[in-house]
Amino acid sequence: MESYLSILVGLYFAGSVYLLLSQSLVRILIGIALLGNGVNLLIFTSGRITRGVPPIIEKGAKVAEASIANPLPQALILTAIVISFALFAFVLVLSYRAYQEIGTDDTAKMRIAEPVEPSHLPKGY
Amino acid sequence: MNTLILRTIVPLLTGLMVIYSIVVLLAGHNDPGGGFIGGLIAASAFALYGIACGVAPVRRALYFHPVSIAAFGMLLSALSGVISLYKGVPFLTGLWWFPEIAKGVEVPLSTPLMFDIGVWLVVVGSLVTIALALEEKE
Amino acid sequence: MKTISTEGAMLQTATAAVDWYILAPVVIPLVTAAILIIFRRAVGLHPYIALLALAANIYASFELLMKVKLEGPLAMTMGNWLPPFGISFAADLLGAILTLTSSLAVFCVALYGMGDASSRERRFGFYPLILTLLVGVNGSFLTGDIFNLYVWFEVFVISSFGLIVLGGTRKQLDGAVKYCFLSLIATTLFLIATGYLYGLYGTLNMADLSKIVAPLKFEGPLVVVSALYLLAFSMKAAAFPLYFWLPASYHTPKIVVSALFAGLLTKVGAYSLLRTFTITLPVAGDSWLMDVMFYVGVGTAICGALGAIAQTDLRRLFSFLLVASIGFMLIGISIGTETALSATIFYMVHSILIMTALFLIAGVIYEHRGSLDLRSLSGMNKDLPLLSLLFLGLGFVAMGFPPFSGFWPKMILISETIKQEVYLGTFAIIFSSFLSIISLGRAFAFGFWRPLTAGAEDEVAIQAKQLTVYSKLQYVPVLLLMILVTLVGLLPGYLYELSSLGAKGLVDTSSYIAAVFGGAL
Repeated sequence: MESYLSILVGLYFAGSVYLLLSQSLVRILIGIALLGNGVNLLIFTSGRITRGVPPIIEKGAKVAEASIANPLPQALILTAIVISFALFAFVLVLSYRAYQEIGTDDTAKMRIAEPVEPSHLPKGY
Repeated sequence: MNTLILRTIVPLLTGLMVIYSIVVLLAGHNDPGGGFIGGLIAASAFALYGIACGVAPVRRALYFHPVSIAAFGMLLSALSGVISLYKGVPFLTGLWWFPEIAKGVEVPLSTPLMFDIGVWLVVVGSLVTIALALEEKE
Repeated sequence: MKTISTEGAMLQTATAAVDWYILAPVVIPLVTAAILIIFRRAVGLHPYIALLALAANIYASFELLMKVKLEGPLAMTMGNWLPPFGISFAADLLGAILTLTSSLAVFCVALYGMGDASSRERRFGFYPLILTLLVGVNGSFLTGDIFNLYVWFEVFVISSFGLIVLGGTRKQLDGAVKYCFLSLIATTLFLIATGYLYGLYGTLNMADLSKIVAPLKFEGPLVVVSALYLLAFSMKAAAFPLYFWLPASYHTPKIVVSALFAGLLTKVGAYSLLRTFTITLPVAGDSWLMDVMFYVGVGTAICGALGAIAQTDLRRLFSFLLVASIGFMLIGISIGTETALSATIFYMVHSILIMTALFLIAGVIYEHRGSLDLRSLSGMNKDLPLLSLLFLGLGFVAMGFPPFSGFWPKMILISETIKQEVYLGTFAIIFSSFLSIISLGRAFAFGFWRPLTAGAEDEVAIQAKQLTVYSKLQYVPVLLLMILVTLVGLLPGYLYELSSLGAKGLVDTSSYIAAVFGGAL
């Protein structure tokens, strides 16, 4: 099971790298979303896929009776999901605002901060 | 989205969803649930209220600004860890009180509960901020 | 009901209140930020509350440093668990020194913000955001758990996102897009590496990892994980092939914000490299990966300095100098001897202070002249003598001239490269410093020495009328930082003692591990 999931993670990463390398901001955004999901799946696979009951301890008991699923990857993934959701929402709004202000989503044409006009250097520079 | 049916049913539904979110929040210590998921339910309740009745009634109903609510939640969660300072245990240790409100009725209160309420407030505050900002645009 | 012994999993003894100094640099700014957001309408009070909290933070970090210096590394594991079950916080000298330095830098930035951040920007959260940024940075310096380090990274990254768009001009949005995308990809790479690490060893506690990894050979998946960490942190630290986002974005936000970024953010990347390749993954620190890092460092030092001499915008010039300074740190980390590491720690402290000061003085220049373009700046030594003197002084510090703080770490690093016979490193450091002397010297010659260009008089007069009381106050944080770097330069012995003790703790990890595991190994 782990090997199938590993291949899936690899496909996620390959797809996201392909999208990240494009010039369009929208494609880069989708690439980032894909990368985030790939990572979550990766952590899930790293925690080993085991068949076990959910890690919830019965009332009255202090330890679990049967073998339980590893609860740590779930905690790591939840943290990662919340963080990547927040950052992705921010970047999405930022790209939209940048598109409104600059008028293009082509990263090669976004040269406001680093203009290409020839500089008239002072004498002796 | 300003239909009669939605406007009639949503105030009732919002109240129910907020109550359910509090149930989920309180159940969270021993069962599935907790501050995060409860906060999401409550935030979607307020978002729904905003869709049906407009943003202004939601702001009036919340009374406090959603950002302030989120910040208060953050403060509550941070302070729930600091309480351990007075007990001589590390940060964020779970501490419990069992005050008796009536004869034989104990209410278990704890710092994990305080932390979870803080998380609930953070989630409600921040998501309602985003939802209301998006709804105001339209 | 069965009784279950918790001795193996939970702490049985009480924690002394003084141990809480390790949490104070995180908790104080966090609580203050929350209070400031609750009272977001009282923008007039924001700077005073923030400054008070930052002063308390400096005091707490100083106490932490003194305690760590006397008693060795200090650790606390959250929630009464024993490591590696709970999340550990562990302060060694490296973390404590950097916490104190960053708290000082943020204090100066907050002081500068009093005059620079408008009440609208304050309502949008200028002060809460710089406080949460400090939370993230201090958390990164003090945490002993690598997943927790990722979380602190995200805390300061999201605060910096908020700060970089504060104001929202076109130029800013363009710079912010590049900064935000690259930061997001770098932290995701960090998370990928952490996911693999968890899959490999089943623990994310740095001290625990150190024990597990130390006897292993550097091969197989460990190489992949280490290379990913090198890539992710180098991206965040703006190292050689991946530094283009920094000069593309750091000159766009408000000047006070760029000062904060220049002082702290890249240094967290460099710190994480230092931490990962000494304590967390000790075998990777002795492998061929360090040669890769060495060439990356050489490339960063030379490309940064070459970029700096090509710039006409003062802030972009400083951004490239910042890139070059990261190169020196990478060279120091890659050599990896105790002397080289102590020079690196010394250089990091120097770099935090000087980079904050350089960007702040750019702010003062902007206040007086309304421009940071060296093509139009001129004649400032006539009407602004104090500013000229400060700029010259800070220039000397950044170039690494003897009586100031930049000289000592560079000298130690150069002598160490010669001793280790890595002459390429010697060449890179000297060449890069030489180029930075040219670029800063030329900035001084054009902006200050050159007589006022014809036609610029009117503009200068207009700008002079707009000055407020705050413009004078803005000298105060720059002066404070100037005094600090001069003191460090004149009395280098004290900081060198601290940083060499810190480096000793990185080479011999036993005291760090012992502190985290409470003495019982």
